[in-house]
Amino acid sequence: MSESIHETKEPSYLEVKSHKGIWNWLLTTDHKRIGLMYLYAMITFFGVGVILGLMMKLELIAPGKTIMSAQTYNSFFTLHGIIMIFLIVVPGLPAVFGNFFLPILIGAKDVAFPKLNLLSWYVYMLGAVVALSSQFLSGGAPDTGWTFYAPYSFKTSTNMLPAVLGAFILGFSSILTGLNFIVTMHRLRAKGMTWMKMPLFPWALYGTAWIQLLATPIVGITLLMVVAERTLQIGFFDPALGGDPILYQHLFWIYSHPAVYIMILPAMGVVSEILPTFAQKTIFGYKAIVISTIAIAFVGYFVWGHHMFTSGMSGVALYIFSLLTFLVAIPSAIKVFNWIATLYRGSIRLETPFYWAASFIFVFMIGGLSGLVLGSLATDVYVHDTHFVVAHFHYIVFGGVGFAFIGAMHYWFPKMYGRMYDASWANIGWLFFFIGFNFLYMPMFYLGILGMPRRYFDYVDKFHNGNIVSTIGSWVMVFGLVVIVANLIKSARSGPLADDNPWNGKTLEWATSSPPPLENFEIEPVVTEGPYEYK
Amino acid sequence: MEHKKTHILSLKAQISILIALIVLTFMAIGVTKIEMGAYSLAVILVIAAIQAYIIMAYHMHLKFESPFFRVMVILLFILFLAVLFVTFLDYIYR
Repeated sequence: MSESIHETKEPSYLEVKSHKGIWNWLLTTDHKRIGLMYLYAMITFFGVGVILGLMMKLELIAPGKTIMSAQTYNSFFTLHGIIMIFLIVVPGLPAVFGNFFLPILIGAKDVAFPKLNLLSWYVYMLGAVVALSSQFLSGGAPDTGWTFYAPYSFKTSTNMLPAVLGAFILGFSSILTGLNFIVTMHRLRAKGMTWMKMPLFPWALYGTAWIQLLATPIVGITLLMVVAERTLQIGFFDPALGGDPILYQHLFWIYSHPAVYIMILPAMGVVSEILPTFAQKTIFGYKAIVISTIAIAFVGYFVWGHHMFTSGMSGVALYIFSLLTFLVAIPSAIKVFNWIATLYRGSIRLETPFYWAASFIFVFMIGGLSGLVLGSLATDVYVHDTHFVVAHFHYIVFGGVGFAFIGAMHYWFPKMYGRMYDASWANIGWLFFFIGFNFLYMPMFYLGILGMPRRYFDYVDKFHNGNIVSTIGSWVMVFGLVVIVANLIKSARSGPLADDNPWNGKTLEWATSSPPPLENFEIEPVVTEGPYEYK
Repeated sequence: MEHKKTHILSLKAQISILIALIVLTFMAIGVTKIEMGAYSLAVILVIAAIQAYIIMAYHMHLKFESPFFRVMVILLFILFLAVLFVTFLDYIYR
């Protein structure tokens, strides 16, 4: 892809010590270290979220009370949602891999505003602490679900304010990161890297960053309105005060549906990086993928109403939102077609990152097609607020972002740490995770069609079998996850040293050393051809 | 990637902008004391729009930037209006 890049003899970013001890991390402005700080924070939060999910599944292994009360179950699914959505999947891929790899992929030394980047991490941690404090303060853990729907959010006596304020603060971190990335891509691309020579992961981050910048303030204001409603009795959403509870749903989903694309676009970007490398073939339809990325980001703004089909919206709005929802499926399908076409007649290498990317397509297709059931007015009314929605949501969000995140971790691990992981254990981890994931969530489609509502800690006997399968699936999946994490931690410390380009990739990160030096390249790269030019 | 020279506002201009924003804020408060029915909201929104324009033009330097950035801001407003339009498809036809 480039000329004038030589193997560097400079010390890696991990060897450069600009401060003493822990301050070397806490005061760093190096985008790579900041990416790792996000990674470690998110793994910690993710562990808590997974344990909460496991406990919920254990509660549902049998009808009636099994291990927790109804109120505890309400708090668990609320906290599970807050952690997984606001702390992990929304910031996840951009904050970790965007921070680490965006500057390298475009041939820059760092992001445009390194100090702002560090501030974003601190704002993220502050938001996390404030949100999680809601669990421990007197008053009880929030029980409204992660959507904080009115009227629950202004009627509940639980600790709603810290949870809502935490989400509000986390939004600022998201906005600052998005702003930083947009400026970085506009101003710091390497010489010769035109927009149409930019790799697809940065393109995905670009679309994502605009959503972060434009949509996040809306949820920020909405959450502040909830605070004002609770503290000052202003009637935004409470009908008793002249408000409209459906207005809350509009405002919340105007942000939160685009937020789904904040989650999934970078995941698609990761898959678009992995597949050409492991097929050793130029990506099929580069421009179509770029255009569909921007189209998803744009059309994704106008589909929020499909979360509200049973809320009492006007009939006209229902039809429009349903139509727009079907439209957004088109650019998503274009991407899937291009990925499959990339694999066609490629020299496929069956390595761990490829397994994750391929299984991403599998679970994303199931999630996407079940989304059409929910985007269609008649069928949505039938399965609304059932386990079908939970299954669809997890296939898209966990299947999409989770598979892409772990895939990215295995793809870029040699570059990040300069060491290889044990491929056998990595593949075993993937296999258990993939099987467990499908056993965990597939029965939920069936349970939802049978009519099992979501967010209930109890159920009638006819739902028992599906829940047993689902709970056992959660154990298998978590076993796979433990194998994966243990393998990566061990390999980061003592794995064999990695080559600079172990996968024979063509993008710029593979043209520098593993791990990269502090300023990424010894000599500023000059880009002369597209990012995936395999001969 | 050339950088244009940064435009720095004079102190006099900055103070004038500050005074204009404060006066407009008091005007917005004053309007609520005058009985104009449904028109009060429209007048307050017009005042807020003027304030937003001043902030974008001077504090955000759009007045001194290339047309490219102005077009981008206009596109964002179109996006915002489109979101409002879709939202009101619910309220108007409910």
